[in-house]
Amino acid sequence: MLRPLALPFPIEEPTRKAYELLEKVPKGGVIVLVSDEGFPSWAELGPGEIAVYRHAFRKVKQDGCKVIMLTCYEIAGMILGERALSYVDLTGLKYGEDWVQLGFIPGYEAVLAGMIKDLKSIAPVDKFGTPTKDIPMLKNINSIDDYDFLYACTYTAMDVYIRQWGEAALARGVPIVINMLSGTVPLAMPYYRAGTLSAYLNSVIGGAGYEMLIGQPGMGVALLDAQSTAHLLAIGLIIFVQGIFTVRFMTRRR
Amino acid sequence: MEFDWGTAIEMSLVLMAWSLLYRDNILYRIAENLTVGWFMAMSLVVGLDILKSRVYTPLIIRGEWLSPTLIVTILGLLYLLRLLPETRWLARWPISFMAGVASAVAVKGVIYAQIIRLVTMKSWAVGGLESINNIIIATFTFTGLCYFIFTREHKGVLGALAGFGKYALMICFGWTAGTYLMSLISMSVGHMQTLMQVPGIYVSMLGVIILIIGIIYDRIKISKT
Repeated sequence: MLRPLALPFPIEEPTRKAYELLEKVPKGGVIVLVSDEGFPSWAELGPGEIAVYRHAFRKVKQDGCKVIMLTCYEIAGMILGERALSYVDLTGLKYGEDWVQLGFIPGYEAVLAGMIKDLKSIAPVDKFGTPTKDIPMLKNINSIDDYDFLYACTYTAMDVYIRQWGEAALARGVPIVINMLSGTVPLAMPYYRAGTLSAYLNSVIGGAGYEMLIGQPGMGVALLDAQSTAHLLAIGLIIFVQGIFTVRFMTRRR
Repeated sequence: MEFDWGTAIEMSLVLMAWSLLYRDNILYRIAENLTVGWFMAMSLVVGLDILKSRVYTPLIIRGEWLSPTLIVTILGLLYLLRLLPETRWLARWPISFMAGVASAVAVKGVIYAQIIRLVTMKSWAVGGLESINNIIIATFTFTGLCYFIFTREHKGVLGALAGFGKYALMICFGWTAGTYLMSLISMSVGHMQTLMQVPGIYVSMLGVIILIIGIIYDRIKISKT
């Protein structure tokens, strides 16, 4: 962190796919951003979250897209979603016409299921108490038929989103992109191969790759150097300790 | 440039929590209690806000009595009766309702997305490393499941499969521990980055000074006893 090593890193194929899918959202399309990360996972998921938010709001400015933000797992997600939003330049954008923040809607899986059929029933008011039926942007947006991109950032099980969005999104060609911890990526691989999950961001490396793709390197790229070095140290220590253990074990046997 | 007090307080709390690595101390206990208290306060505020917007406003302000909100509110209030021994049994109704709804919502999505789509997936032999990957996944899954067959003794073919499954499970648990360690390292690296920048660097310097004073004080105390 004091002297960046600028270690090279590849941009993974799912990260490129996530970028292309968001870039392909048509003019006036609706982008749904669900922030369900927790405070412990901000370091891993934050870079990707900020990069996706920046990209989404760039689409709002360039192509007149609309953004719906919500949280359904825990309050921390709403706070961190707001934190990611603070990194976005909202100049010229109007709340209620270009983007809307529905806040924390308790219910988790029931909320994810409900937003597919009737968004206004699970979110009668937005974060600020305004009835959603009175928000100009949401007049014609209410179900999966009106969404063009589904994004979720989660530090728990990602199969909840696949379960509730998978069938409906697949039938209507709506891509699902999930930003997840590296530990849960192997669990997501079957869904990615089956096509139910369109793309994913693999924690910090996915976030760093996304930052490079949108041309705004930030926290992810900076963290990757330090994280790679820390992991190399961990591997070195494991090999060192195992070596000592093996030598002691073999000398004791003699 | 305005001093970022929010980040300074955040990093102070991080360092106060990390001070446990040295020893239990009052700064750690302050950070611990502040965190618990803040979480509870935040949950209470958001909970009250949701009750106001989802229950009070529709029922009392708008007078929408004939709506599902009334039924859900009654179920929620029944849950509170768990606190009294005489009415504890009434709390089973909202618990059963929630368990039933949660199961129904989950099962509805499982059948297509998690069973049909995966079973009909045509990517077993895609060529190259992907096929080897699929074979490893299938072998580890099968042998791991063989390990958990307790109705027969692990002898012969089953014994060999279960033995291989035992090592497969050990590899998987080691991987789980490794990824958990990685996520903890990432969290620490994220905090370290903030501690190296303004205003975190000032907090770090102050933290180092307090640590040095603490070490000197402990040494003096030990030498006196």
